Amino acid sequence: MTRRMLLAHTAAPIARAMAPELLRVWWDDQTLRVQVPYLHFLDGKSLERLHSGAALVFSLQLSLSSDRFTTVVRRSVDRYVVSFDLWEERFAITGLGGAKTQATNLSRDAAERWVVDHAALSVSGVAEDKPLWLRMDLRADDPKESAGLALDPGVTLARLIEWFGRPQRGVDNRWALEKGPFRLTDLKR
Amino acid sequence: MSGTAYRSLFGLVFLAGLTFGIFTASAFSWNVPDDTNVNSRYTVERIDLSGVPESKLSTRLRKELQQRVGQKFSPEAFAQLAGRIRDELKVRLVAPRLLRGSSSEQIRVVLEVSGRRIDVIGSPSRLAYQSRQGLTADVRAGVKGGYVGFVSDGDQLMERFTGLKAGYARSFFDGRVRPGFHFQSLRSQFHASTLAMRDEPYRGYQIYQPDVIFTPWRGADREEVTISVGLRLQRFTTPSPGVNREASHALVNTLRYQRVWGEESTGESTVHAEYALRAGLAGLASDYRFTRHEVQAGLDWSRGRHDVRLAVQGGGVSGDAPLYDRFAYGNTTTLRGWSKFELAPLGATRAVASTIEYGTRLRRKLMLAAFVDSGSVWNQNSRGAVRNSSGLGVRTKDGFYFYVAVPFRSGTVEPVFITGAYF
Repeated sequence: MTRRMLLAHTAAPIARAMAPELLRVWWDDQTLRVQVPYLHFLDGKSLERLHSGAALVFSLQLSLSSDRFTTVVRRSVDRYVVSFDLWEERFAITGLGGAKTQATNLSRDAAERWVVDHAALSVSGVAEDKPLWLRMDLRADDPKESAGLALDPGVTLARLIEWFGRPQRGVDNRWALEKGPFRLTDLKR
Repeated sequence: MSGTAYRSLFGLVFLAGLTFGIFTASAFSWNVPDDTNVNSRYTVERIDLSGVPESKLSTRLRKELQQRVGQKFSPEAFAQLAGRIRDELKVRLVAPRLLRGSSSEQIRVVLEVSGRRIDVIGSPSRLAYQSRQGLTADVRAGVKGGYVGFVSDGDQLMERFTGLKAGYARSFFDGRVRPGFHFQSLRSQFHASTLAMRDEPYRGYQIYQPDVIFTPWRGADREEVTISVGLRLQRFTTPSPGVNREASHALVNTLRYQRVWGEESTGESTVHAEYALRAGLAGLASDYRFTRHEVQAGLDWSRGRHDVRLAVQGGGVSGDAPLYDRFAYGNTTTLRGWSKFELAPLGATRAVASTIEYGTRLRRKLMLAAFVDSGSVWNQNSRGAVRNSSGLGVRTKDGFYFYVAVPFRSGTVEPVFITGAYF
């Protein structure tokens, strides 16, 4: 083993330990919630489109697995329409689906936090002492490019999951973060 | 399939096209509801068109745009107007962009127009030369929906046909319905190998063809489905006039799909597919009763210097079809390098062909290309041999091509030169 390889092998675990936690997970009342303090998705092309007055649909999927994503034991998909007020220079968000949630007058950071904070995954019935893996997928879509699926209030979870697997056109923004293994008992409540 | 069955199929396709066209044109809207865009509370101060002069729009559309001034901004209404402008100007994209107005609570809407739409129906003029077939020229000129042209084509059919053609087509409902009428008056000249096997079947023909092209689906970008339904009224000039076999009237229907996505820098792909049905029916007072199916599909992919083309096509003819409707593979586009007169001097009733072509850019527009063609032509109740050929050449993005093609056969190497241009 060369000195360089030895250094690399030693440095990697240290770097991992020192790296900021990209996907933070906590649970509350049988519901798993996430935070992504270092992810800025209102950026780049998406931000340009929003500044041009367009409304974009952001879809956030949480997938929980007990075997490194060979199978998924729980899944949730939430969709939000984000727009940017030209005069106030603040963001507004409308949640799609069952209960229509809304927020206005948000800064960019607050808008990003709002989207992630409203994502939740029920873990009732999931063993608390078993190792688990969580994955968060987030994508931004032009509503027309998603063939209406993103906006359809009656769309089923199965169709949304299938749609998440499709390649994207239009606004080219997609993020995925993973955490695991962890146990529910070890998480902050 | 009987004539009645075909009439039913024709009716079905017609109704499906019409219904889907009307449905998608008016009701199929997936735009963001107005209340989800925070800017819908502002008033539209003015509307500008960017990329083309406003005078290019119809008076009706200009008036509708002006009616939006002074009203609250409606993303849904503007998305629909953008779609109509896109259809009317035949462009790829019309994107509304919002800017602050001169005073608070007011906004300006700029409709940014970009790109030209690909015409999946129009057939451009072309010149082609194949060293065994000779020259082919199909040149047309058109103004405002009408066109006239001259053709001398020794490539597409088993005969060389020479003469004039003319037509007129007009678009309605933003180009979603396009009725037209086409006329051709042509003289036929048969190859010696065809005449060695049968008498001269006809000396020429006139075709009168009314048709309607529906566009029931247009995607957000460069995606389109078209259905063409028409009636071909064809009358042959026979060596013995008035004896028999003069009329070959047929229903001609085509279903086409094309989708282009991506950009060349990041990888552009084009998928196209087509199904064509011709049916000579007893009810049309035709002397020939036949059905002809042909399917074509292909994928073009290009990224940076590289370009790949895959294509497959084939079909079958059943019943008593004139030579005009039989397959003539082995020309400048199918089984390149082979001669159609060698493969099936009387044309074939069954055919299949495929192409794989790779191109690499030499200079800005010039590409070095290599291809392998495979396929077979045969007649009902007989077996066809699989034919292969390959070739090397150059082509440009403007439509020019030059290939040296070599058919794979034992013993001899006989290169065939193919060149031409679309314009």
